[in-house]
Amino acid sequence: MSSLESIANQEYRYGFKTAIESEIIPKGLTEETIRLISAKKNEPAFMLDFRMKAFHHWKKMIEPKWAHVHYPEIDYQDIIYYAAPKAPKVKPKDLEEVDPELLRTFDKLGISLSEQKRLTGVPMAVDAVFDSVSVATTFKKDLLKKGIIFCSFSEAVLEYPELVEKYLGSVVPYTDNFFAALNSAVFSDGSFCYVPKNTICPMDLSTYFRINTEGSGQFERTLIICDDYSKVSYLEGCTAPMFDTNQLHAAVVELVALESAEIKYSTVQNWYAGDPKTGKGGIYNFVTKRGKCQGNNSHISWTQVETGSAITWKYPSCILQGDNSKGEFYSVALTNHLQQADTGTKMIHIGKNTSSTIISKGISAGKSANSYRGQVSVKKSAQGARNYTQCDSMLIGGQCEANTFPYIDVQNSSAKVEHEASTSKISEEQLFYFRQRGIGTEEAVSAIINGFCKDVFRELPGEFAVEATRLLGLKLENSVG
Amino acid sequence: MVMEMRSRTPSSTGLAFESSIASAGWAQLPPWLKDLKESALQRHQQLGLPTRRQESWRFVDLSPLTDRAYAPLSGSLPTLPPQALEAFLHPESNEFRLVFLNGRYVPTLSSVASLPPGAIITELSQAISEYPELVQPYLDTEIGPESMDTFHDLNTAAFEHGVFMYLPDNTVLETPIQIMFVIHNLQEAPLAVYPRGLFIIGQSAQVTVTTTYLGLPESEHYLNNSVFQWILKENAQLNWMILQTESPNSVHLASTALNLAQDSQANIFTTTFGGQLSRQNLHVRLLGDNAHCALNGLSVLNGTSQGHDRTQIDHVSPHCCSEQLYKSILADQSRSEFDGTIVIHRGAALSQADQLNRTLLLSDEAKVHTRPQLRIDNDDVKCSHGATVGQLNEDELFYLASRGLSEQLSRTLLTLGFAGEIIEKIPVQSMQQHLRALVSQQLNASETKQTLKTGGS
Repeated sequence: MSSLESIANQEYRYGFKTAIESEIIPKGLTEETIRLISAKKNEPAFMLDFRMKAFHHWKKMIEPKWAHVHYPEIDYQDIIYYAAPKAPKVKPKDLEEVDPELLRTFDKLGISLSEQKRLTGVPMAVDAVFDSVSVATTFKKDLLKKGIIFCSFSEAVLEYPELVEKYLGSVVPYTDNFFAALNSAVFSDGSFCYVPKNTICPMDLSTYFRINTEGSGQFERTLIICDDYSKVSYLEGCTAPMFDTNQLHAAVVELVALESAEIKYSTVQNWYAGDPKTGKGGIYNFVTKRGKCQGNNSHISWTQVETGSAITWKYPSCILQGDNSKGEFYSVALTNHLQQADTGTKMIHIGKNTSSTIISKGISAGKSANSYRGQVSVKKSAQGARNYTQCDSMLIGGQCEANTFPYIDVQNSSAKVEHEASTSKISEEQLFYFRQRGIGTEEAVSAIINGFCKDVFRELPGEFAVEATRLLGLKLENSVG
Repeated sequence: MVMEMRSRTPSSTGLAFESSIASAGWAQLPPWLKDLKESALQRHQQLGLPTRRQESWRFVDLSPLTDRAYAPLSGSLPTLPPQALEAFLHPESNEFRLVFLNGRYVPTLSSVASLPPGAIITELSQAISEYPELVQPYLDTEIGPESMDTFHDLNTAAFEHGVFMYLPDNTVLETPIQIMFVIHNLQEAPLAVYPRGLFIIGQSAQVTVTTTYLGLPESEHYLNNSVFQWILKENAQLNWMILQTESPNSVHLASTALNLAQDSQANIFTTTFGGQLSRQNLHVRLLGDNAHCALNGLSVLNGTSQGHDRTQIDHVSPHCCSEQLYKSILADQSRSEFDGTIVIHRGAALSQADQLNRTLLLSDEAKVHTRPQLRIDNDDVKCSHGATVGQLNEDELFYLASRGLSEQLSRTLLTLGFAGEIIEKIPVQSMQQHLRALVSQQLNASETKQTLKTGGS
């Protein structure tokens, strides 16, 4: 047990802080802050206009309280809304010019920003976001040859303003919710991707988010547009250093799938979860993610593995507008110690013969609270709509919570909607069976958990699946006594 | 928390109900009851009417309630048309029947044959004066906060008549007891009635009760706001069937709280056929080890009726078991909601809870909202819940059609089959037959002309 304990007690691996000179604007949020952020990014007028409208709307909104999570009041004036590594006078043209300290940071996180082929032989393009700005994007040129635009959001605003203006806020309007409005007002960077017609993206695209500055919030925005008959697979990863204070991460992700387009969005979220014993610190992950299947036969698939954050509050959703469009949601949410998660999805069926699948696996351990909250809504127009939902919870230990809050609203008689849920624990019999065959408790638990999550892990791209399996094992060590 | 039962700001419309409370008579009541009613009224006024911003009232359109000013019954009772009750009487219960008309007890229509020693079945106001020592400790006490909503408080403040049952330990009543609440409102003003029930089932006692809500079709608008409270002692057994056939221009708000002690068992059936707005709030608390409850619901709605079923089962003690099966059949523009919550409390190890909600949509104008929810604070449990929404199976319809059955008949047969799963579990034979007749009747009354959809799914 001693070696196991040492692994279990190891600290959060990504908890280091990079000593880098940063440009930080003072804490607080006023019109001035927004003007300053917008000016720093040389944004065109429509952007400032969008931000201002969002800000004024946000001021009128009240922070929602309906989620099954508890946290002290957030002081929105005590957050740094913009922090960026000091920029060189000339913008780096390619990777050689990026601050080597930054490259080292991402190396340490296991994210290679050099355009080498990965071990598997398949390259992956990475957009690395450090605090409020994107510091590097790899394989940009290779992708552009195919007509695929993959760059930081700020760059897209300057170089492809017409695309940004057309699609920004088209899926998540700034009026959508409190945190989306806040993000719309102050978002600093993020990733932008446009896949033109009839193009299958040759490599996986990914964004890696890193919060470094204490007291700063991260408000990034991702916009992915997949044009007619195109296909893209997108990955997102995130980590943060360990601080005693809570940090707010309020991101917005918008996906637009046009006719017969296919977007696959995978997330492995491992933000700092706070101190395991006291619950001090950690990230508040309040994220709005939504995809719109705008064209007929389009397909959006969300896969998420949520293991980090003090509080996770997110519902990656699909608006199934085009006829025959398809939405999928695969999720593993693991909470341990004092973590809280309220996560799930929304599937809004509008078009004819639309279908959606929801597979959610919640694992609660320690004193954590894990809730699935999902909505399946079949509108009157959605003739022949079909939904299948399965949400299973597993409880480890007698002090955790598992909740399921599904909402099913059907207005069309030809719709078929099914919802199934179960809750269970790892039984003594199962563990006994393993031990009888010489497999230790920890390994047995890990095997059972991996089997429990198999339906979701199957959906993750190769390397991410390996990473997710390993991560789950690490997070759960010593939670079974 | 999802369920916020109480609004923060009292809405002024809540006070409209004050006129429907006959508070003039409170002076004659025993002081404890007067206090109870006063504090309930105060709470009701503070809470006001629920709004759609409250989670558990989100899908409830309260306009049938708020559009009118309800008044208590004045004057004498109307005479019932001959044979009005005939179809609703269960012959099994001919010896034990309590009939209320417009909220008042009618001894001439009721019969209570001889009871085992110590057992009491009587009208509630009578029980309050005759057996205060039995009523006072239980009335409106030990009720979970989820049951105590504004309409519960309104009933506590307003009720005058009702049913009181006390079964001493080891009393087994073989014959089912029928309680009927008949409304025949001929006065022009909308009528408000507040039936109340208090049932104490002693240790190892057994009883079967049916409750019939009947609104005669020619009745003017009325509100039926009932509160039933059941206390099951150790090893007690209860079968309770509710049939709700209110008139189409009525509002039916029922709230039931059940406390189950160790080894006790409750089987409950709620069937909903009528009312413009109907809401059942059923709250079961499994307080003792090895308590068992089964809730079954069947709603068959047409026209613009809306039916809401809200259930909460609290597993407080270990080894308890709960089952729920709720089915709705929706025609025309009807709407139904199932909002069921299972709460497994921290100490309730080895709990088992199953919940299933199935809806059959017969029309494109009908709507269903379902929320089967689980809140689990213990790892040693087995819980499952499920929900399905669908239509009649085209293949099954084709099968019946190919054997020469008319389309209308095939549809009725399949729909009856869907409802049958609930109906055939009901332990009173005559009620089973009556329910089957009511389902067919309801389907035939629906405006929707069902035609086989050709070429589409």
